[in-house]
Amino acid sequence: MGEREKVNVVVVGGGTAGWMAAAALAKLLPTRCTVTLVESEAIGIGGVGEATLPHIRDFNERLGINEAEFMAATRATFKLGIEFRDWARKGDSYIHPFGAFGRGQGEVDFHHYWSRLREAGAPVAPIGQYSMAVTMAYANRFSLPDPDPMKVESTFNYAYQFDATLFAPFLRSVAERLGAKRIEGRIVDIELDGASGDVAALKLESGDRIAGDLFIDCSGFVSLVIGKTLNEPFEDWSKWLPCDRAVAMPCRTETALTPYTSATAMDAGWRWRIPLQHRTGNGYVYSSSFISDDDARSAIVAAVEGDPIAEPRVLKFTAGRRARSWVRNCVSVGLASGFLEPLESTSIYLIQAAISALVELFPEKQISPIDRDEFNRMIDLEYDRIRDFLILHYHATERSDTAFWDYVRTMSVPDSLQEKIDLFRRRGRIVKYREGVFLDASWVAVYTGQRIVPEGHDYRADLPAMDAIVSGAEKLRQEILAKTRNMPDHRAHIERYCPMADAA
Amino acid sequence: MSGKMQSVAVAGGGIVAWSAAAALRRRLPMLDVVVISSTPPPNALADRCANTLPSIVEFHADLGLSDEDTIIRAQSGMRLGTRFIGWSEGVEDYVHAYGSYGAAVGGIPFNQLWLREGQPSAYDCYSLSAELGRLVRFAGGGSAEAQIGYGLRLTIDRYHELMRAYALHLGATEHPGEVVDVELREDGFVDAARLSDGAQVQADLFVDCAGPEAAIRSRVDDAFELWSKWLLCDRVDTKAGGEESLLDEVVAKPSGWSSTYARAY
Repeated sequence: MGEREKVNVVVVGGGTAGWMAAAALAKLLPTRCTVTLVESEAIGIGGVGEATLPHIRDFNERLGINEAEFMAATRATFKLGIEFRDWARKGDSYIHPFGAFGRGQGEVDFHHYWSRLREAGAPVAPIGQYSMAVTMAYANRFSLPDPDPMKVESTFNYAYQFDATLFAPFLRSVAERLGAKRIEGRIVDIELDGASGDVAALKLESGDRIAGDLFIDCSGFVSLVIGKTLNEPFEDWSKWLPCDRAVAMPCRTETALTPYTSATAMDAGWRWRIPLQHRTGNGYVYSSSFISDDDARSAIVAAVEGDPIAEPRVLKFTAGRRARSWVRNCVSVGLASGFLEPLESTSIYLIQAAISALVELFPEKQISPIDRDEFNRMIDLEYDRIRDFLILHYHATERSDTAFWDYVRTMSVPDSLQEKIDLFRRRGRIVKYREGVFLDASWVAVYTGQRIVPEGHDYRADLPAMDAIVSGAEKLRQEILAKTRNMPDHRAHIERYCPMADAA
Repeated sequence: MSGKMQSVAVAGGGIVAWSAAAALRRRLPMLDVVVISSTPPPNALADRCANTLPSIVEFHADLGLSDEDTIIRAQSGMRLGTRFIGWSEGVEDYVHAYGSYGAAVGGIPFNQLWLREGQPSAYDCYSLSAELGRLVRFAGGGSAEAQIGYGLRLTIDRYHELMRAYALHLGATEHPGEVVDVELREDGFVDAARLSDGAQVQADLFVDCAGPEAAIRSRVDDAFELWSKWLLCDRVDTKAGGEESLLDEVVAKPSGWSSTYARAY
């Protein structure tokens, strides 16, 4: 192949997506591309405090980011899962944990034994009590997972809750150290190549022209390149995910520093609670068809636990994605490519998935449609799976106390989701994935947490004697409790491991 | 839901049927399993082909069968892969080997590193299984960097004896006979298999392992997806013979291919 010319990459926008992309390309493909990022200080970052999935740890590791440094800089806390309150019925609650139910080692998944006990009327606790991550979360305890897979303290994973407005600057310093170039300026026009129709250059307010071979659209909701300029159609999913607004309002932390994010169902949507080291993020995600902005604002003000730190701020969005995330010589990453509400903390995961796919399929100057199509297949799969998983949260409800809940309870859902629900209800089976996010335990957590109970179980779970399963499950529950009690308090662990510098 | 499944009838008397019966009794011992056994027809290649993939090793582990049973007592040999001869122009042969090829470096898959270096040697040179196979040597396990994979080359008669004995030991029962017809229920499900001696075998579930004629399955419907436009071969001529080897040779011929299924080594 010989020497190939470097691809000149221009990243459009400097939020979380933009700086993650710039840092990853500069680190992982230094011989294949140059990276220039254009951003304007006049435009703020869209993020409102971020809850993440465990995959972010791989990303940070690949970039050589030190965990404690990163956590201190972004005022981060640990996250063992997401708590859902009031979803299937008012008063219900469960945690979707990052980790297994049971020891996660058997040939037959733990939830089949759990179902068998339930069906037989044998003594059995809620399934969360057989999860290390759930038990630690409710106890506000944390320590890093044990590397020995034989120990029950190895059966959980973790992510972070951090301040998104601090993450982008942190990554900027990483990216610039790796050689990415930053240009300050407001983009006023995008120049297309007359012959090919590809993107040729960005034009800035200053009159500067930034040419490139490959443009990464990280411009957020504006979708400056792939949407506004290349007019790639947007697939609107709001009939399944009707929430189209969020009102965010940070406050002082008054209660415990929980190692988990909470998502509490509200009259016309749900409310997040994300505890950081220095404050708690709150927000109400709602559907403007079912509640007014003013009522939503009053609801969040009434719900937060401590003194507000800022005025409530309203964001608008539509659930869905671009028909293709990669078009011509433009790859969209983050909100420019699509939006799914942060119910399962997938925003940064989707950014990361797009960056990883781009790195694996990184093009030459002359872009091959084969690489582009494979990228789009991978990204569509990620979006569509997460879409189904989110719809499940709304649809698996018995609530009809407001018009909103009545709508989502009775709406028709995508066939791809209905098949999954039927399969679980029938006998606890989870559709198997080989790649992608949200594997078996995640689906089990949400199904069981939202009252979709299997009518049967895998026959192989009938093999052990009933009393052996009863005593085995109880022994496991006690062991998880004992190990949890030995762990430090979440805040104590943070103060020792990664305390933030005093807030200015 | 109606009542639980209680009885299963497995049709076929070769290694396919006995493997199915053993697995069902091992993992779902609450089921009554009867094997309607007859000699597999000549075109039931799955009952006659002695070559298996590495997955059989896991299958044996799942059944609770040891290497002593499946290799030593059943007189099986190891096979590390298949050597394809004359399949592409300018390439004398290549080995499709089991186990790993090369090793990833820093998360970069090995095949990408191999491409970057301009394919310095044939791809199978980076497989421990392929090299051992060419040298007719064997060592179990391998290392983290070079993992060996192997399937078994069965001695069909011995393996058949083993699987039958094991299935019976696990509680399967045998009903010798050939399925000649089936009784269908009103809803189109199979109610019973009728055998050549006039006997009927009823069951809740039928597993048809009786070869391509599919005496039971074909009575439910005769839908068959034909793939012969892509896979043209439709005849096989078999002869006894073959040498001891760890690789099987598949030689391209003017109208298909021929293989020497090596004897168990």
